[in-house]
Amino acid sequence: MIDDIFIFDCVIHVYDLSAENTIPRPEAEAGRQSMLAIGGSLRWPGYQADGPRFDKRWTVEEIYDMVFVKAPTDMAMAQVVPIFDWFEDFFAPVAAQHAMAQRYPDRVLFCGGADPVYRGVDEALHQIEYQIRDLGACSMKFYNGHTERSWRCDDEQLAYPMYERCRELGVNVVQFHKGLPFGLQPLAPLSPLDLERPARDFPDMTFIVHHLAEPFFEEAISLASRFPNVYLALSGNLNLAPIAPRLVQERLGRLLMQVGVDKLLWGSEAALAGGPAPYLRAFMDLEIPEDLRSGYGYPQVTREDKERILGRNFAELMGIDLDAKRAELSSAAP
Amino acid sequence: MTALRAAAPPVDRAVLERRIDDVCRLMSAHAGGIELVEVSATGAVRVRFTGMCVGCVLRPLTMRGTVVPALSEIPGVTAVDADGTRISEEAAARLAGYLGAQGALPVLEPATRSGGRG
Repeated sequence: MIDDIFIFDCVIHVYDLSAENTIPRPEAEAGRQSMLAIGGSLRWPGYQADGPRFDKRWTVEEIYDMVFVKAPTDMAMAQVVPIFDWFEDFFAPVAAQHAMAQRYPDRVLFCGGADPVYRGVDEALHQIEYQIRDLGACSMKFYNGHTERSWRCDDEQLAYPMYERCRELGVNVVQFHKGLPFGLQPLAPLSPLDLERPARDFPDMTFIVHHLAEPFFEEAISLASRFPNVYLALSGNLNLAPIAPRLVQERLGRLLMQVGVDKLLWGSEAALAGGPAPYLRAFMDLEIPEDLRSGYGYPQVTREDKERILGRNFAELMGIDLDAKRAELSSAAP
Repeated sequence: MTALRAAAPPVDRAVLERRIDDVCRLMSAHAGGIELVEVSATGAVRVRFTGMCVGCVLRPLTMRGTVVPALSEIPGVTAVDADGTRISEEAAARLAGYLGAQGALPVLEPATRSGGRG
């Protein structure tokens, strides 16, 4: 907790950025390096100078130390990153995310991941079923942008069967990496606009768009303000607060005004973006300055806003009673 | 933000819905409208924009210029709220100045309402 606010991080990843997990092709190594560079750009300079190495296979204990010991996080969701383009066993493997949730069941939820072009739709549906039924996934993450085989999130042959299978299995929250291309990946498939039809056609499901879909911020705003079942995860976005507070203030003010605080979620992107402690402090210190309030009409960000963004909204989506969880974690503390 | 009125009788839902229909007829000129989401026990009304008004950047203006004045006349309504209508105090004061007394009616902001999500 920070300032007595419960922190529920909607996205952490137990990465495998090791050379051993990288497919032995030059473009795969270039892809791995681009991911390392993206992570580096989100971290404090100090992290890059003195922090841990990131080009490795992370252990669940290391992630726990970074997220829960060295930062005031209370709960987090470990998400699979089904990027197969450059990695033998995905960028953030299924087994590693599941292991994190198994090791720390009171604090970590498991979010599965599948891809319909990796080994076909049937295998993706099998994976969804396996990860939800056998591994306890309570959400699924999708990455439709790839170097060569991108797919659309509104494809009724590739994507819709996956949403239907999730829904059949009782998982109604599905998540999407949007914007933020890895290296030289094509940008166009990462526009969030292909979520318009799914959001319309699956009104009983919730669609979470990560990274504010940067650089498709305008599209993300439009999408989330028109569809009540589209949420925006500020995954990695708030990490810019210590570096470019003005940019974060502008983005946050616009989101509070046009989307509403109820649909905004905190995501740290640990481990690649570094430990979340400094970003959480910077966010707690953040205010919308007078010139943005007066000149753009952006509302001031309140403590209640921060409480919702940092945990309450995601807890409600995941059906977690925060007061009960707070008491449970408190009684379990040494 | 504060409530419209401190104490109030229970809201007559039928009256409220008829008034919302009236507002919708006005807003249909823009191919938009509102629909009722919920009424709290304390008279806080939550509506949702529909049609062409969904996602419109002018929702704060429509809210303060049309929706709030219409709904706040109904006995028991203590506050009115909708996503996409939250603006700064500075902007609200400026807008109220242009709209006159009607526009000065306060809107319950999402961040301050009690209970869960609407």
